[in-house]
Amino acid sequence: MERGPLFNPYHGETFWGFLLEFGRRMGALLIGRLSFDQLVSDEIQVLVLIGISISSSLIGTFLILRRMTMLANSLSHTILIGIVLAFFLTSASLRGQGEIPPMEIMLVAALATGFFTAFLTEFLTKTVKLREDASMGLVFTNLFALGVMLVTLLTRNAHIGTEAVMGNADALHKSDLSWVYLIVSCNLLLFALFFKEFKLTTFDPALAYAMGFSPSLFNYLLMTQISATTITSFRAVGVLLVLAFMTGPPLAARLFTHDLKIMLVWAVLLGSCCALMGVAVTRHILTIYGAALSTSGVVVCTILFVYLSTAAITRVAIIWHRLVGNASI
Amino acid sequence: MSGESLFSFFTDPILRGPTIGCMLMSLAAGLVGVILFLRKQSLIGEVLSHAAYPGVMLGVLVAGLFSITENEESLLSILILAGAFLTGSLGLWAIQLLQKKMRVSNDAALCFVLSTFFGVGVTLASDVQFSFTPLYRQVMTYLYGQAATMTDVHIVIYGTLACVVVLIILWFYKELQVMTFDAEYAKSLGIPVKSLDLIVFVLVTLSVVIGIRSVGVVLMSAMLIAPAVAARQFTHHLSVMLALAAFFGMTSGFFGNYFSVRLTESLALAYPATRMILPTGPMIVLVAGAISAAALLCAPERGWLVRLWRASVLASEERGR
Repeated sequence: MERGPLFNPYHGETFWGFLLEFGRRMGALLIGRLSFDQLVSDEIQVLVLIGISISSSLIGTFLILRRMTMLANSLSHTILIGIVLAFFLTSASLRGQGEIPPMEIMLVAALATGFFTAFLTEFLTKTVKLREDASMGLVFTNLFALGVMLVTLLTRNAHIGTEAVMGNADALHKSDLSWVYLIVSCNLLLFALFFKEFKLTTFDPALAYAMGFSPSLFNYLLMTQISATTITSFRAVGVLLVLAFMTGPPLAARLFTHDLKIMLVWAVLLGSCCALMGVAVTRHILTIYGAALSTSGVVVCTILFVYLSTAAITRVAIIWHRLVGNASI
Repeated sequence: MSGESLFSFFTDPILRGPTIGCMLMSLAAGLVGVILFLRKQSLIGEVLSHAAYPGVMLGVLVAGLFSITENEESLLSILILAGAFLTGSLGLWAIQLLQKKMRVSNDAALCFVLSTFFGVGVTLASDVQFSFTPLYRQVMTYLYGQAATMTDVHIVIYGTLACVVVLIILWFYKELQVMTFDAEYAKSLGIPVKSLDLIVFVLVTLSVVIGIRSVGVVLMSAMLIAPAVAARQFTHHLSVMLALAAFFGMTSGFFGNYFSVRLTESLALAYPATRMILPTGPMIVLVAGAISAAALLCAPERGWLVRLWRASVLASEERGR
């Protein structure tokens, strides 16, 4: 296996120095002066987190507009079973401690558990006639409990369970990078190809149905995308924190636009900025004060901060408009 | 023999802590869950339990700053509970604010508060791990819960909190009943709906806070949902539903402990080398889930299988005529 370069170009850099150096090196990567293998751990971390926030912001925008975010919450909990099953299926051949199963298997397992969750929830709501919030809560908490049970039983390594929930951005590999960007391109491609259909089924499902586009088909497509995005990001940010990536940036973008396309673009931009800033703050400000905080946690705090400040700015802007408007009349 | 061994869970000095603690927790959660279920807010427990996580970490940080060690169980527990209560209430307030002031839809507000608060918790947890490493091990148990290490101290703390929950529900039973089913009517009767809402929130936060030690923040919401779902299948009366939910909750609290201890013992006998341990928290949730699944399928009148069977009987009678 190739080792990364011993020399870290970001060593001892300040916050702004880090951002400048990062921009320079990314430029070099784009024009081919820097090869893919020469990326250092900071860059992998930033790029993975940016990839995750691109996918999540795109999906999250549609989820929020369709009022389906709690489905993402369900799926992200039950995916733990998928992860455990993938561990179990591959542990016979791998056996190594802390060895993660190949992403292909985890992806299949995640999709399977995702469909199972959605199916079970729908069965309880439609057939057994249990109210939707209760059936959702019942299904995912029990599947999650089963997942936690299996984690402690089969792997006897509570570490995996903790890491699945909290994420560990410091243990990313280059393979994570390619998987994350594979999913990003799939998501981009799907949303570009079916943008009209997604838009129509989001805003007017009845019309969409009358025109021959099944809203539930697109629900299932979106569900598949949630599962795929969550499973590729669980190593970096954990299955729960990815929900903050899905809700935070789109909600912030929603504050200052009513246009779907603009909202998507802003959500992606804000999400990526949060990812970059989060890493920069963790590595180059907090470490100066001797605080070693979890990168994924700091990124989520940044998202929270960005949402709060956007909300404050828009509130102030509204009040200011009112004052100015009144004064001119 | 089995009767005696069941009883030993209440007397054995090691077993009685987790057993009674979990039963008290499930009792409070079951009662509060009924109110939430009828108000169609079942998922709020999910958000609250995650929002309590940063509070747990705050409590530990404060404990660390005052150099309280991991051996001072009761002081540490109280600090953690206070922190969890604080951020739990903050989370609830944030949901209200998002929905009312920022016009965010219900589900997005829930999901946003849940994940960002949990993120803050993760950040604080990493700080605890770094600065107060001995306390960190203690704290990690709050993520998935660890009933097995509960002691008599916990029985006292959780018993008091559970009593508070039960007393509040009994005291405001009439008002809660009217408000849950017809908020407008309650207003016209002069019932202070707003302050009652506040009381419900306090109840929910309390019950979640009680539960995070035994089943953990990520599983606590199950104990608010499952007993209420099961109880709803059997009755149309609020009082009966509360009693049933409390009963189902306590049953799952007890048998969750029972199965986890007994199965761990038999696993240890069968595979002595592996040291497999069945965690109690998830076991309680699974027992509660099994109870509600059975109720959903087989409850008289409302159960799905029962309805199917009745429909088929009806159809055959039609054909016979």
